[in-house]
Amino acid sequence: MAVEESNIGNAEDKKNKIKNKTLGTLYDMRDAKTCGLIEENKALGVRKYAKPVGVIANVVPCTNPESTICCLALSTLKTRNAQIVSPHPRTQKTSYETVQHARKALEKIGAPVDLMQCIKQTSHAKTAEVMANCDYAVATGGAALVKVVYGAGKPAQTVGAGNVVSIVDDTVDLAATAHKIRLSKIANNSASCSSENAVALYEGIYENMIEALKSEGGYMCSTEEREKLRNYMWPDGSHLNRDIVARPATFIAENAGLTVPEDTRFLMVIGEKIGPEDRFSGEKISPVLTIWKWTEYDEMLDRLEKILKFSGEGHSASLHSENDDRRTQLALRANVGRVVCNMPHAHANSGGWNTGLPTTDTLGCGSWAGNIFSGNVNWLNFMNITMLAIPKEEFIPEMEDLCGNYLKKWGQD
Amino acid sequence: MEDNVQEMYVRARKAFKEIEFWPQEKVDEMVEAVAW
Repeated sequence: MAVEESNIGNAEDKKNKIKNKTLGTLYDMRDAKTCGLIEENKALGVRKYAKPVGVIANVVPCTNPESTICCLALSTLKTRNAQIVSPHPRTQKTSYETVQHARKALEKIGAPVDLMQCIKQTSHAKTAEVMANCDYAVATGGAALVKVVYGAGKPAQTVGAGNVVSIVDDTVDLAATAHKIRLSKIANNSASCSSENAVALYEGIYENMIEALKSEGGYMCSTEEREKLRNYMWPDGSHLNRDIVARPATFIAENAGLTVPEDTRFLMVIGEKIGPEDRFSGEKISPVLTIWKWTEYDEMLDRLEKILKFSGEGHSASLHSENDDRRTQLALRANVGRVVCNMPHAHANSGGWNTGLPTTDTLGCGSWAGNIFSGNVNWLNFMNITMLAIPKEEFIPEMEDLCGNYLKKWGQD
Repeated sequence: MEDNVQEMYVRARKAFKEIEFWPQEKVDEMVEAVAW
């Protein structure tokens, strides 16, 4: 339904995603305590009691108009909250129908159906009104939405733009890695903010990896084709053409005036510059992959910092390497909430059956993206906790005990 | 459902008050029902 309504993504991938997100969210919260006493530390004399937040505004994107609701419905109900969904104008029917399914399920077991409601005819004004009226907001959308959400003056969970770069070195199997990148890149026609927007290939494997990517359905654009694609994707030079969002590579190629093989699954362009002067260095939300080449890993991490500063800071980064030092370096240096290694990024970043990352459709991007949280938003984000304290045996530490190392090194003045 | 946001909030709040103190077992049953 969402594909018919918006032309975004493809139905089969969406069906799989909805199922996996629902199961994954349910699996993550199994056995979790969200009602009454949830924790007790007898030594400290502290008990923790879970409390709901109230009525939550859920602003849903057109890229995932149903799976976002599935994840957040389970998370907000698990924590005993009600939810009002504000859908995206392009996919409001899909989101509305998704909520109707949830209401039927609530009715079947005698739970109040108005725990889940959805705006039927959406507008920016209504979205703002929902957020202003509710007790808490969660909004899955870009930087512009973040400002609107926080402008509503309510506590809120927001997300940031993705611009995932997958770095590949010479320690991995290239064919297997190219396959993983393809799986991630073409999933739902790159509707996910977790799909790679670029790959950065070590120079020693560059030519072979390009060939491996071509074997996976990648089409390398010539300089002339790159220019045609650029003009089609950013007609005014700065704003992404909304008609290309999550459309098949062959559709984009045809409309850009390129002739590509019928089995082309993603288009590849060489990265030239970082920043607004070369939009291919940013988020594209389409099966278009920018290719970078690197020689020194440190220099690549410097370059990644610049790329993320331009687009995608706070979101995620990817590495295909068996070198654990490189994994650690990336995690320490990249200003992102997640670093995914040796996995199809889009299938792992927001949860999956081969990763321990929590399942979500809402990826917090931290203060780097103006968000309050840098993790995968789930049920833990939708409850308050009341701490009850009873007296414990008094213990007052000595300053010398706490500052001993400092005093030993620097002395007491 | 009508799109009167104020009314929707009132209904949501009423529904929320009904389950505000539900025990874990009842909540988990509700979550499983919606997931299914």
